[in-house]
Amino acid sequence: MRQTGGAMAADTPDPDVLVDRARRGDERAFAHLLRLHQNRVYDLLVRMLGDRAEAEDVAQEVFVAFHRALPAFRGDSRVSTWLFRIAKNHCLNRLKYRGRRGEGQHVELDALDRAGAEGPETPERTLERAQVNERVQAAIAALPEEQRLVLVLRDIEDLSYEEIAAVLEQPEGTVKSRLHRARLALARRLAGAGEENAS
Amino acid sequence: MNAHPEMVEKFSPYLDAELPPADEAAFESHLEDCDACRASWTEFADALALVREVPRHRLPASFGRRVLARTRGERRRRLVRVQELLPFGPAEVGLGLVVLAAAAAAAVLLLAH
Repeated sequence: MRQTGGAMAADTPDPDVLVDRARRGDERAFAHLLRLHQNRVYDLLVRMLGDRAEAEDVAQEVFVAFHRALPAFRGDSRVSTWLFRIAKNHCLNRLKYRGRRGEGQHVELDALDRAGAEGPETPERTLERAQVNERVQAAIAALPEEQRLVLVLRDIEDLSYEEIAAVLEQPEGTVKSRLHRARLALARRLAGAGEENAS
Repeated sequence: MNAHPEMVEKFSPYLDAELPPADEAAFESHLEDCDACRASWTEFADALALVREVPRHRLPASFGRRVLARTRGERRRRLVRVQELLPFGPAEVGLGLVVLAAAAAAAVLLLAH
């Protein structure tokens, strides 16, 4: 089953109740919301910024901003949508700041991408998977910001088109065409990289 | 030969199961007949399968504690700011509440008579 709004287990409290409690200053409710959403927000930021330390730094800013804005949350969108929107704004600001400083795109291929998925595997299989993950991350990093954002939200974070449109504050049609261009560019790049490696 | 652009436009809707059934069947039968479109579709679908399999990054356990330390600090600073704006301190607020309660009780008694 496709999950579009955060990993919600059966015993997880209702998100609306959690938000309401957090708004009234209940720190445990806020901590619960944090645990529910922190890794998805962080993964988006790592994919966008290509740097784990910087992504963690921005993730902190995102959750502090979320906490500060809680009293203004009207509940007309999902918490995850709202959080991803805050994350998107912070992330684009950080990229703009980098652009002003003349820094390019960071492509930090970290231990996770090198290690690949968990589980018992032969060293050859682990190495092969790790190389593929590195190529995929590099291909994502090479996309223009707007395409990268929509691709990560859809194909990694698994958001619905409707939710992505709300996060990006763009019409669904724009989201769909941008995503299609991103996917084509990524497929071309990965196919090209495969041929380079084979030759 | 290159893939047909009108077919390439259908790659994403097909992948997302958003094509109407008739279009979906037409797309599939075209792929069976057209080598260029089939090769292009395979490249597209393989790439997306790889993207969807990448391992997710996870934050260290200390992350939540660090955020909570910051939000606690912010709340304290906000409270201090509110207290600084008030012309009286907590003791005066307590006294004010006692006076208010007494006035309310007196009003209730007066109305009862």
